[in-house]
Amino acid sequence: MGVRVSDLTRTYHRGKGWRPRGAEVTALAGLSLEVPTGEVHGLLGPNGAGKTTLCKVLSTILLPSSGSAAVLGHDVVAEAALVRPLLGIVFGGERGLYWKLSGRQNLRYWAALYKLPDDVARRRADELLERLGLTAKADDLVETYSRGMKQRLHLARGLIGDPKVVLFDEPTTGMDPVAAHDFRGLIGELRDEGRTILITTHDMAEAEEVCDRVTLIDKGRVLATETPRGLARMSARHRWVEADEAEVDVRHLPGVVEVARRDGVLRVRTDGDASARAVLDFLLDNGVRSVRAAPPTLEEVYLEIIGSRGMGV
Amino acid sequence: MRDQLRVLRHATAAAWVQYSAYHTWRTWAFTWLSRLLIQACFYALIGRMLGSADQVEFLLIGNVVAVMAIDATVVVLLTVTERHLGTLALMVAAPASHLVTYLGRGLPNLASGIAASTIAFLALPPLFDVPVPWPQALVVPLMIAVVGASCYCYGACVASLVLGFPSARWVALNLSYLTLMTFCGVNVPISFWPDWLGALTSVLPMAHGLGAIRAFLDGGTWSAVLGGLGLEVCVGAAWFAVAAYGFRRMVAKGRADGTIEFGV
Repeated sequence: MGVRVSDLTRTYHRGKGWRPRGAEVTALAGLSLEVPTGEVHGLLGPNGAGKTTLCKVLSTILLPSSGSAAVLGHDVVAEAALVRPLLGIVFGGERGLYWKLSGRQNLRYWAALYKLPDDVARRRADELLERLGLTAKADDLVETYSRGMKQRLHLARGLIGDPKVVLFDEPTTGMDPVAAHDFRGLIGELRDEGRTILITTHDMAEAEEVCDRVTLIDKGRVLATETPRGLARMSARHRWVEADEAEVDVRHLPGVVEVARRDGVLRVRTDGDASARAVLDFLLDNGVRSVRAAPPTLEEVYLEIIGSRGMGV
Repeated sequence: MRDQLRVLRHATAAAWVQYSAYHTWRTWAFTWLSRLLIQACFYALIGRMLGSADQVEFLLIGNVVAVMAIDATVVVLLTVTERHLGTLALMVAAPASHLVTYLGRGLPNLASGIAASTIAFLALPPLFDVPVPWPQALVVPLMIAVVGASCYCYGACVASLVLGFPSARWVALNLSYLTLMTFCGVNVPISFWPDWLGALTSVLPMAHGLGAIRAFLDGGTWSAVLGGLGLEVCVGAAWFAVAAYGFRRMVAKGRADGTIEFGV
């Protein structure tokens, strides 16, 4: 098992200082999760759901209040020293790099912290710079990098120790669409190399595209763990109908909740099977020939299950 | 051990590159070094104002050695920088010891301090007619290096405490440096202080080492000189041990209370 989390709880007190004494907050409330070796697993949830807290526990920088977590069979508390060489950590944003060093110097430095011999470190840094398209800027100071380049350097840094398990915490924050697309390709390559990958993200398209399974988390608990397609089937409240080149208006039909058009495709959300059937019949009666029932996207499932909580935290 | 030395080497090399990004040899010489030399001259001039050659010698030698301590204790700021850069979590999560990494980060500053004190020792005594026993005095820079290492360990200890209170870093730096300046025989002989305070200075860096340098320049016996330096090494080792414990403790506390953040 790549990652195993059992009944994990983490509480903390709000406030600052040596002994924070604010209200107790529960970040993880008995969370359990299993990620098989070699799986790309997405963690989805609103801000404050506990995704980053889980990543912090797995990366050994945060102790759980109770429960247990293990990476490749090693307990993250009792065997932290064994877990650390197995893990790569990548988080979004621009921090976590030394701006007055070049990209290559950053990687060589982190390679030393992962105890790589100098010749291995040199070779691996060169490989990663090449793989992430940073070779041309490898010897420039990081402070001259664009945001997207810094993010790619983050990725390279996270992979420098040749980790078996990689934790990505909002990895595409700040990436432009092309870089984000390349990142998804990289995830596929990492999976092909047999690495276990855990990604926290708000980008549903990203999760849908790269994840073998996703877990929805809210208030420190797992709401559901499924494949993106399986999760879509769990969306019980709404049914979707799609039609190509349909110039008819269906908003007046009973049970229609939402109508959207994108790239010439009409997408109708209805409140149940009967309404969906009525829309299908209406479209066919009006000469639309390319009509189908469609599963909801992961984003739609997310919104249905999580609701508007994301805005409230 | 080889891994630790490699980490120390890379941490020092990375710190040197960063240090070089802020200082060329010209900016170092004409801003930082000159500032330290002026400080040493300022105190020596007070001795001259008092009209005593002994006072001039006491204040000049004391401050020539003490200016090194400013650089040596800058490690207090550097460790907090890791938190601001967002690299602290990554360091803690890395397999290598964060203590070794921290220690490597400030070594260029220590080297800067030792170089500044050495240049001050070579350049200033002739200006103030302070006699120096050449060529035997060529060993004084080595003694300054011993005192510097001791002060660095003391600074690392303060840094380990400040790691949990980043906003206190400047206060901590100035207090730790001024404590040495005030109580360790730089401007005021240790014998001036009450016995209990004099006893306290014996656990501070610089007190024994500076005493050894003064004894050497005054033609004291080698046993007195080496004894003082030996005590300085012991004091430095003790501060190192406390620093190692402090860093471990602060990281353990950060893991427990969740104050080690990704990217913050």
